[in-house]
Amino acid sequence: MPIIINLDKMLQKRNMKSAELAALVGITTANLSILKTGKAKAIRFSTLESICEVLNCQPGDILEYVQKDSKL
Amino acid sequence: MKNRKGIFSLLLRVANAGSWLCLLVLLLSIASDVFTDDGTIGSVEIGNHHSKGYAIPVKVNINYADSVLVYGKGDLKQGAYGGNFSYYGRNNEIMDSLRQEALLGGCKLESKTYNKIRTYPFYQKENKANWTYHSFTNLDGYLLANTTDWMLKALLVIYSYLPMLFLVFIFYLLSELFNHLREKLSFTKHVYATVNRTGILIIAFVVFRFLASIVLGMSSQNILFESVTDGIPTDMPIRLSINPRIVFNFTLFIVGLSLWGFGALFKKGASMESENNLTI
Repeated sequence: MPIIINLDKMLQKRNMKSAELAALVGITTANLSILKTGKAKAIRFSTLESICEVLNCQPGDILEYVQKDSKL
Repeated sequence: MKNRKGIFSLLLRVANAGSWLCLLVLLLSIASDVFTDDGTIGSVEIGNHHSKGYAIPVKVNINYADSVLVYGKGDLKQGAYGGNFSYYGRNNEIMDSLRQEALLGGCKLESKTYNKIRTYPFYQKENKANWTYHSFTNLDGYLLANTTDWMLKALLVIYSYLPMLFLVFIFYLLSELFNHLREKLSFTKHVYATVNRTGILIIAFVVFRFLASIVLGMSSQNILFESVTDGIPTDMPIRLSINPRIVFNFTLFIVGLSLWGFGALFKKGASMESENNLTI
């Protein structure tokens, strides 16, 4: 999928664990895992808002668009 | 949202019971066909048996020369003239004991001499529902028939046992569906696949019976019944001609087609539910 989720990087930067983030945001660790692994089909604005609030970041810090044919 | 587990539990039980009951009847019929000489188990007689033949669909045309229709709601003589029992005689004369019994049992002859059956109404004295039966016309039925042609015989056997086998499968699929819905009321791949399969099974059943009835009809002969005494047709005023008929259950076909169509809807629902589940 051309949308990359950079949650791992942000968690590392903030020195936070997944379970802690899930608890603060109010989602299950299973759902957070789905989000981190890129299996999620969509993300609610309310979830995005909570994540940004907890991690003190912008949506762009978490979501990144990468063109399909671009080489990373 | 209420998940209606109780309804699905009830439906599951009905479907399970239906499935086992139909399977039991099917196995009994096959066992009676294979292991008995005349198709009787104790006092129970099974219709389909290799010694007598298998049911082919026919239309019975009844011709009356000069007839009456006796009907009523008599409990005592229910077997003789209850319900919409048909009866034939000539003019207003009491032709035989059956008609006499009908008259003695509370039916009364209403009017004068007629020529056709539909103009001979008999009324029972205490007919609370005030039913008036006018006539019966052609009847759909089955005729037990046998043939030496093994291909036709194989078709006959399949044709005879297929409805029960079909019911077993339908009940099984329904029990699968209701079991799933009882556990989890949601659109899933399993639900849409089961609905799809049920629809396809119904369509296949209707189409097969339709085609088989055409084949049986084309290879069967028309039959005429007449009362004969000493080789001479008697003066009995009834003639039956029995002709093979084509069977096409349009209602069942529409149900199958609709289920098949709904299968696509369920598939879409399953896809939407999956997307919804993966929305964080």
